Amino acid sequence: MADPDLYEAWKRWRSEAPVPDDFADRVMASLRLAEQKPGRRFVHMLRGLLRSPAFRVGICSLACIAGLLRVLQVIVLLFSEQACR
Amino acid sequence: MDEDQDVIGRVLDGDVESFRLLVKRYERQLYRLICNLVPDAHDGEDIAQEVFLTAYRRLATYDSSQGAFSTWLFTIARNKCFNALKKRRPVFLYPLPETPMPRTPDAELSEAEWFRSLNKALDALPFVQKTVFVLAEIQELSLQEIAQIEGVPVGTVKSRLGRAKEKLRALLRPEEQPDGRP
Repeated sequence: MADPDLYEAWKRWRSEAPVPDDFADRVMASLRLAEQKPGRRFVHMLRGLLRSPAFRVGICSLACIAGLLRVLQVIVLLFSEQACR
Repeated sequence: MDEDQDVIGRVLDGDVESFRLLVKRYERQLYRLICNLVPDAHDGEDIAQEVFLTAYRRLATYDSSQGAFSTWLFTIARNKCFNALKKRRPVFLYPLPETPMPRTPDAELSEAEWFRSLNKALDALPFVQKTVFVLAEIQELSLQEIAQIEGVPVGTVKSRLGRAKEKLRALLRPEEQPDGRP
């Protein structure tokens, strides 16, 4: 056998890596196991919620309202102090 | 590619079982890559499983505009193999002979022995050269894809590949005779 043939034969041999028949089943089983952990469920649920535009708009609106309320609170505090004087 | 995107969308919407399609589609290529990077078959199987698990967990971060799903998956596999080898480096490394055993007509080695020598030489390559060699010569990926997986310019991939091939081919080069004849 000529050298290049030997090299090519070796490459072909290296590229033969038979996958075990039940490999996909085992991957899916470990995936389901990982999914059953309580923390993962919460993360999955949160990820699902964050993918929803309506949920994101809602969260942003709530944050804006909270910010506005805080500003109003400071203004009210300022005026009430002035009224006391 | 679009098929991958459809499946990814379904998985992200909560259809976990659809992930099996991605596993089935890429298990062969992924397994081949890992088995060529990590010499221990049992480790290879564990790593392959871990790669799919990591891919599932990080699926939301996959951006199709950055490259194919397979490229993303191979990048995860490459990094997992790198970490595995780093942990067990002394076990996996075989020293490359200073002067590779030359092929001479008098001392013709059997194919199996040459395969073993080449395997040892491949395992002894620095990880970056080994990865590029496996991705290019065994996985038959394009230089652009390899550059993306390795996170280096195409020129660097070419030079790493050249060096790796040279080391391996040196094993098969017939010994030069004193009069210059091969």
